[in-house]
Amino acid sequence: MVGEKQGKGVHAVRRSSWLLALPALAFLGAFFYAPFIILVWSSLVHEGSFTLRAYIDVVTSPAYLRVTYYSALIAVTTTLVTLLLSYPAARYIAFYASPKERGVLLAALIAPFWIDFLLRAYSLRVLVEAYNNVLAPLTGWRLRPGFTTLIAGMIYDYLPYMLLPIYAGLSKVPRNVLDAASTLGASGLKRLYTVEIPLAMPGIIAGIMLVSLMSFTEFVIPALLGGVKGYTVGYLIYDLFLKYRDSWHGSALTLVITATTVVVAAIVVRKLGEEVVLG
Amino acid sequence: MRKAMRIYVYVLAAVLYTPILVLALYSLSGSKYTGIWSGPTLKWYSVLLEDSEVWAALRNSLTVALASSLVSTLIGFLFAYAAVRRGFRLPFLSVYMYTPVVIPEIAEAVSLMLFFYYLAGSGVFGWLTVFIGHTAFNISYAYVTVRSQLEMLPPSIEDAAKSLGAGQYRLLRDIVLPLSAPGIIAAVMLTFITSFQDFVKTVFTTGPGFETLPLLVWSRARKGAASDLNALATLMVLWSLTAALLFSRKALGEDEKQGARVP
Repeated sequence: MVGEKQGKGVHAVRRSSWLLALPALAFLGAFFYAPFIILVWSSLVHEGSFTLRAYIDVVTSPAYLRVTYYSALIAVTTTLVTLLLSYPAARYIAFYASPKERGVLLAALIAPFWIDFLLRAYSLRVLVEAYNNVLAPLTGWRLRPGFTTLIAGMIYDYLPYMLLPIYAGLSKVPRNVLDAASTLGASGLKRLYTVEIPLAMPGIIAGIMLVSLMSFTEFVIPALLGGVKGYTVGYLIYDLFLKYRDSWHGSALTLVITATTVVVAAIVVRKLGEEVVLG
Repeated sequence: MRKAMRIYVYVLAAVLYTPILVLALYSLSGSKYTGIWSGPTLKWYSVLLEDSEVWAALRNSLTVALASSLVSTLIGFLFAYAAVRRGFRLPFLSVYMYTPVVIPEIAEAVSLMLFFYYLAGSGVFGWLTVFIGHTAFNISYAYVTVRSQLEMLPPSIEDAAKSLGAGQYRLLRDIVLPLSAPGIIAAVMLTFITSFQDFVKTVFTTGPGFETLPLLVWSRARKGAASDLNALATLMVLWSLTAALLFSRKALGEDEKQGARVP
């Protein structure tokens, strides 16, 4: 009797928790997972027949490959430059700033994160035009939209995404371990390479992941700051769907990019997870 | 070394704010072309006030963001409650909930566009499709935010209410909801801001005649810098910074309170 009553109670709880969970499961199923199935279908079916042609085009045609290389170049450059710019700043905030200064600096460096990408890219475009109208006559050198302005825009927009994880990683490094390394005679540089950076690695990898993966599919900044040559994968997907109405190739390209992103993310997360467990 | 690093941080912060300050400065210039100074004047702000396209876009942005933030927070809260308190488990549940955050936004956006197109034709695109698109990614964010709040609540309070005879509905309404209010408010704010500023999802799920503020900025910015757009962008930047300030104040304040309550 008691067992039966308990069994019934568990059953009732299960049923009501299903009711609570159902809206989220159903909404994501209908408007996130089902659309992905449509995307896969749209990439595989052309004029009523099943074909892998779009995938072959996307991974072999020089036109697509050139755009992919250019995007990868931009993503790698953006990641490296934001990493080099962020690390010393994050290091100062984590190790040297007083608690009050730390709060102010973090707020000041993170606040642009809340301003939308589009607005930040546009403000940079205003800066470029202001420079061309005001300072270019003096310097004799005009800024044209192209690789330089594009990279400047990417760095400007992605810096907070690199800085915050690195700061989080550095702030978890125990200070006494660093002090011990110094006491035992490690020089500043040696301490940095053998103690500090390895300990802050989870944060550094998180920043590299965020910036490289997000910047790879970026299309707002290339469109506003890249000039005519600033054609990236994200921009190409935008044009394939909204300009050329070629959803067949558009879907294939989107899926190839998404699969690459997910595989890279999964590998890094797995490695990172192991490192965190071992360390 | 330390001093050099300190100078560097302040220079970096100054560089980050330069474009925004230049933008704000030129929104006060009387000339139509950026970089040619005359003024200061507020005339571009009054041009904005009379721009019916801007008002329509603002209304669209506000209604979509409000509806999406409320609906996604409600759905996310119910799910978080089931997962944290009712022991709701399924295989691959966290993968199911977190994938929308990990997938590139553009992939989510184009798949949703195709989905709506094949399901209901090109006439369907507008407020509803944009709302659904925003809500689909907001649910995951709301869930993460509310979940962390629910996990901080000691279960003993709910156990006490239960043993004093509170039913399931009463427990949710009188105990769980008020206690997780900070997390719920944070989730509403976060999803509202995400939705209000969203561009990628919106550009693929909108239809002719439905424009939000980011879409308006996008279509005008592609034609180059212009003074009335500078004024609009300045106002949007100010609004973002205000929201950032409110949000971080709130988060910090709650941290302190939590610290005081749970020693």
